[in-house]
Amino acid sequence: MVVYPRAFVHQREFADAVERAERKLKDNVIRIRHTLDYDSTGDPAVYLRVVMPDSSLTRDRLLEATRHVSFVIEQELQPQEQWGVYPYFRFRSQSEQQTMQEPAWA
Amino acid sequence: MTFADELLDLARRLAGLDGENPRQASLRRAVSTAYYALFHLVIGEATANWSKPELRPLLGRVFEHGKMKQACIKVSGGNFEIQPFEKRAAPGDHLRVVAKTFIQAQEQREDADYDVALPWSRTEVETQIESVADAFRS
Repeated sequence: MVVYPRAFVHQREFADAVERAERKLKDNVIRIRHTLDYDSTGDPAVYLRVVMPDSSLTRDRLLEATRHVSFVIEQELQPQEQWGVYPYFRFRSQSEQQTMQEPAWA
Repeated sequence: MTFADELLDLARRLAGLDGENPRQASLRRAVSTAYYALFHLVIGEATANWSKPELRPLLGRVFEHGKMKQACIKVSGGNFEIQPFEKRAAPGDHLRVVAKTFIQAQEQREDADYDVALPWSRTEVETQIESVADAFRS
């Protein structure tokens, strides 16, 4: 019997949980977008695309700022424990997204 | 400079190419190269104490990406905030940083090499490279 992770079965509820994490981080992030899929080794995963203000992503604060956001998202979402998916993160600045106009990040 | 150090240095140089308008090829090669820097660092450390130095490269060929990821998931052990290097007290703190970074970098390498649908920005690439550089310090 194939067992699907909870995030795949209850996608609306999962999206709500992502939105809650986004609200919690309203001072740090512009928006969070996500995709549920299997990762390169076949494990269930959530790909989180986080747009942040340029001011948060200066070279000297890049790691600190992105790691804090990752931590808060994981803490709020509990992707592995509650939803059965492993979280992967990518971070982009607001100005980069304005230039690139990627629908997946909009 | 070790091979792993050279790869990390190369990743940084690739990410910095092309001025304000980086090419996707440069960014993707930077992401891939940074992952391989960490991959070879981990293998180098894991085989460093093998009693026959001449066999260490051969032993290194045994390591597999997927199995290394599974081992990293076991080691990284759930949600925790990665502390700055200076605040990592125990060896386990350092190991978990390396493991967590490895998992992210491996998947990003996969995306960078094979998924041409999603373009990369320089911030995405620099975030990955700097996290790998931080894992090197650990």
